[in-house]
Amino acid sequence: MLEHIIDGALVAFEIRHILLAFAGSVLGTVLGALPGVSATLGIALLVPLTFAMSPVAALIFLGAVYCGAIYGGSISGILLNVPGTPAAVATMLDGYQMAKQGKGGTALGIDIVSSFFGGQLSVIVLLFGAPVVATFALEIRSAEFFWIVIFAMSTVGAIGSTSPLKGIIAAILGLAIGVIGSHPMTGALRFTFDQTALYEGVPVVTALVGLFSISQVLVLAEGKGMDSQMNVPRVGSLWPGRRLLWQLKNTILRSSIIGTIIGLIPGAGADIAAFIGRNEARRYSKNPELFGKGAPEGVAAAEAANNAVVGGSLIPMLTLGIPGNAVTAALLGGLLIHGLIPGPLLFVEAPDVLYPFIFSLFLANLFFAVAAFFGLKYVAKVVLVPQGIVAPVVAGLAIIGAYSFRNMGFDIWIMFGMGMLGYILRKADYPLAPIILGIILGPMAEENLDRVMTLAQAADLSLMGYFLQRWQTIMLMSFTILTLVYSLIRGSRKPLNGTVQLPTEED
Amino acid sequence: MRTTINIVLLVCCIITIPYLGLFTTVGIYLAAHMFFLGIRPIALVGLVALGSVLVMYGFFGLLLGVRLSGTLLV
Repeated sequence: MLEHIIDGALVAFEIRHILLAFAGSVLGTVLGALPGVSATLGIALLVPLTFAMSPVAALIFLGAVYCGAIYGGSISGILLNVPGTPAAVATMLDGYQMAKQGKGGTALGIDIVSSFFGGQLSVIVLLFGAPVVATFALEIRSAEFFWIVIFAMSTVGAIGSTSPLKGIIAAILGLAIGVIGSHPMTGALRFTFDQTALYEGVPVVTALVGLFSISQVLVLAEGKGMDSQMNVPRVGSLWPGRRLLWQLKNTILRSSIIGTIIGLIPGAGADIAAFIGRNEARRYSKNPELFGKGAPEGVAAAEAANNAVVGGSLIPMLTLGIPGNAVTAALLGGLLIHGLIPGPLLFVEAPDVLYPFIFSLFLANLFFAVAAFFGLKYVAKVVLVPQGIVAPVVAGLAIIGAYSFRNMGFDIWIMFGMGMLGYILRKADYPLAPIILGIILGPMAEENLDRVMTLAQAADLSLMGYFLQRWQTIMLMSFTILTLVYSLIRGSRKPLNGTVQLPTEED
Repeated sequence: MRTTINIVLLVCCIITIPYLGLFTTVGIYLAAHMFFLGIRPIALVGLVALGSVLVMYGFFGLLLGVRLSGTLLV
């Protein structure tokens, strides 16, 4: 492992990879700062750009975009009270109040430092934790894999959305789209309507681009766009001072740990981590009454937690092939187009790709922090770009990106169809993340279920009898049932007055 | 109504692509959609559409070799 770590570091520190990490980090920050462009949308739009890159370069670039976008979302939240990404809503609650009090520079400085530390801690956990998880994952058999997928889908549906029932319906819809194409074992064609373009199924990248970008374009184009009369307030010095940072050290550390752990849970993204991190900071604070009125701890806690999700969320994605949220699903799309199949074998088969990628995340976190300290006043201007410009440009990129994947005109129609589906579901308040996870995980679940059925038949056992043979499978089945029961109970309860409605990652 | 026009603009763009070419159509679509969404002056609309499509052509057309054959323009 040490050998892989050293080799990975050497590859990540090659000049072209450093430049890619820098470019991705800055681009991600700018995209994240643009209201209406989430980290998921940013990655979905940029995945086609990586077609010409090597797998290492592509992953380094996309990983840096992920880090930059999660941080960038807070800039417009602090300066304009308009969160660039859903993960920045919790930061905005105190950050904007600080900006109104003339402490915008301090808020942004705390934001940068907390994001940096949160991100770095989670990457350390990823570097040392992911190979350990992958080693255990090698012992997992088809039956367990099937139930891991079902468990992940149920948690994403139940936890990651405001209505568990809608989340689960969206997950089933995703699984249904995932079965389009030829059967993995028999080759039988399903729902292809004689379209050769559908024989291999709905392409993940095309579905991703349509679902997140076209639906968002239609949402953005509905309104009048951002008020062009808005002015970015004067920022002033970004350095919060050593004394204040020392006071915030425990808050940053605690939130970084919370964010990393939350990142591991399927369905719980950066937005949920930020709120939990902030709530915990308020619980431990000597001045909880200042929260919501411009408490520096509120900014530090929310930002450290949401950036710490990056490393945590990559562990199940890289080791099990299970993306826990929409952003990692988008990133997984990037892996798939480069022929990398996430799962336990990835650490055995492609350590030369994974370790440089993990190391590049350290660089990406460093780069957005340095770039923000020196160039924030320019990035801050980006948040004023009218949505009347952003929406068509996103649509144009989506059209060209969808076509470029296979050079097939039909893919543009698939993307458009997915976009319309995404728009209708958004209007009906359905989450989109479970759909894309269903499209990605559906074939994986089907393949493993087929294998289990063959093995059960060979062992002269019923399917359930085969599932009940190993305690690991029984445990996963129990977790899935408990999650579904929890979601049903949660769904039947009315929300309490004043409960904060959490935004979803694709908002 | 506004949403319907947004969708119609997108559909028109996708239908026109095989005739005019990928990048030309996207350029025209960008200008038309920005104009519809109230971006003014027209020079800004033209500049943003041209600039965006040139960047996209640089990345996708030249770097990745993405193009549609048998169309009037690129």
